Amino acid sequence: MNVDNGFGDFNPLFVFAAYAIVWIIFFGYLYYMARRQADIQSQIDSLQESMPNSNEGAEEDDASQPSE
Amino acid sequence: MRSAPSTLTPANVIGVAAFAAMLIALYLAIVESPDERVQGIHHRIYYIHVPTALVAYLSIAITAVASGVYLRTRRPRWDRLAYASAEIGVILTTLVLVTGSIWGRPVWGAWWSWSDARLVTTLVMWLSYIAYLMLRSLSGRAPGTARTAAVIGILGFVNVPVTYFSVYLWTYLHPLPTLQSATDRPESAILVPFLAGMLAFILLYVYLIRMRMRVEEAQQNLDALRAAAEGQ
Amino acid sequence: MKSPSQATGPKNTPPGYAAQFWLLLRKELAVEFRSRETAAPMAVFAVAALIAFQFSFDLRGAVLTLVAPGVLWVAIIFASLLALGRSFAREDERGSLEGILLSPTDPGALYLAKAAANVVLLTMLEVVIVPLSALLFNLQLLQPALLPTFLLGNIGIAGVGTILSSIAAQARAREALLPIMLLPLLVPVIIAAVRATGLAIDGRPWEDIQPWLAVLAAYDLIFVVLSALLFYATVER
Repeated sequence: MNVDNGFGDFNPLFVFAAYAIVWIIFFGYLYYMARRQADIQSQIDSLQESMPNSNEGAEEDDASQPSE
Repeated sequence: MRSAPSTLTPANVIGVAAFAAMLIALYLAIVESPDERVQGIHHRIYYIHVPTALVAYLSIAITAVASGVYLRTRRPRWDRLAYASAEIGVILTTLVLVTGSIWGRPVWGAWWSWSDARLVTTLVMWLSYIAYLMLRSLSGRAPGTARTAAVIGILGFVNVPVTYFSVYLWTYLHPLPTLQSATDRPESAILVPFLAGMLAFILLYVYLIRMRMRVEEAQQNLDALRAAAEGQ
Repeated sequence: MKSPSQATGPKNTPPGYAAQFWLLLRKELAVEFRSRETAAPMAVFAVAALIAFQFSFDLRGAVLTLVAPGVLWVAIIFASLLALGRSFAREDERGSLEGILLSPTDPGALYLAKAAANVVLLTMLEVVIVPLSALLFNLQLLQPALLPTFLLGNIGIAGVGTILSSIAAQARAREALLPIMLLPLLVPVIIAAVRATGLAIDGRPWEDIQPWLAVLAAYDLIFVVLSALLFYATVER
């Protein structure tokens, strides 16, 4: 099929774009997850600091809560 | 609990291995592999597109299986696996659709074709699991979300072969100009970079799943802590 | 509704699967016919959609036979969202689902009854709008092959739609979630039902229509059985 893509028939730009998008999305996702993990962890830390006397009770809840 | 400074933890080993495999696959696909006769340089997209597609289907299958196991065992671990695998599956499927379009434009002359059952089925699967993710994000942490999401996780997967067959029959009994890509090359020349790509994506999948499941676990711990704090 | 659970006092053995199904189906239809809050709005919506399609596609001449089957099914599927949305929202408003689930009711029988009630509603809708579109668009819609097409299509829509309705009813933004979850799953139904309807309108022989009816039947079988088995997970409290 004769393709008029404006760059000529065989264009490395398509190959480059395909690989670049995959790598960018993966690293973006990794970065996003690392940020989320750090964010959640800091919230957990500040919550635990704000209620130092109830740490043990909360810890027990940790174990039982996800079972629903 | 905070991630320990980089040591030889399994997660780090998998991460480094995945990154190395990605680089090797990239090298094999771009530098080592010769141009293909018909598709020329564009054939190289195959080495990233097809492994992405296979791992995308794999991760959706894992979502369905983990959903089923969760409904049986009610162990939150399986629900986290289903959720993580669905999210990564949607990202992979997005990449499949994008790299497929980028491949299709120079080789087929079109970004998209409605007459290819694989394309349409992939799009439908993508939408089904976006719906799955929306159900989870819109239901928030409501109790029972894990159960209802598991049902969607299973139904969406069962729908994949049914959709494929319907679209196939639709194009078969109702011919449209079919687009085909010729790949008549010696098998081994394709096989090595292809397998390298498969290995890279499977490692990357395992790495991302572990990471995503840990984020989900931390989130659930946070929610439990918040509930405990509110209860006081 | 209290009557089904009262009928099975603690001393009686609970009715079997089939008996439960009939009781619940009669209850569903009784509630619907008393309130008429679903059937009438569905029909009015479908007719309004047909008018919208007429002026969107200018359904005359050659365009008509190409587009009419799709127009009809899109109108039916959109109207079905009204029935499916009500299917469990009504129970939630009244808190009546808890009562049913406290009685020794099999969730599978409850699912099948709800789905069957939705099949009845869809069939009623089609009894109104199919002859009406035959009249308005001058279509040959009195083909015997359309009977199994619509029946199998209805079972597919109601079968998947009923379990999704139960799921959406428990989530926030249920009105948005139901179509988002339903339409991708209905792609095989849309493909097969629209093709079968188109071929039937063209007056094509049975052999041409049969493959599509087979697709619909297989879809219905797979998803109704699977949903009946999985339904318990969506109503557990």
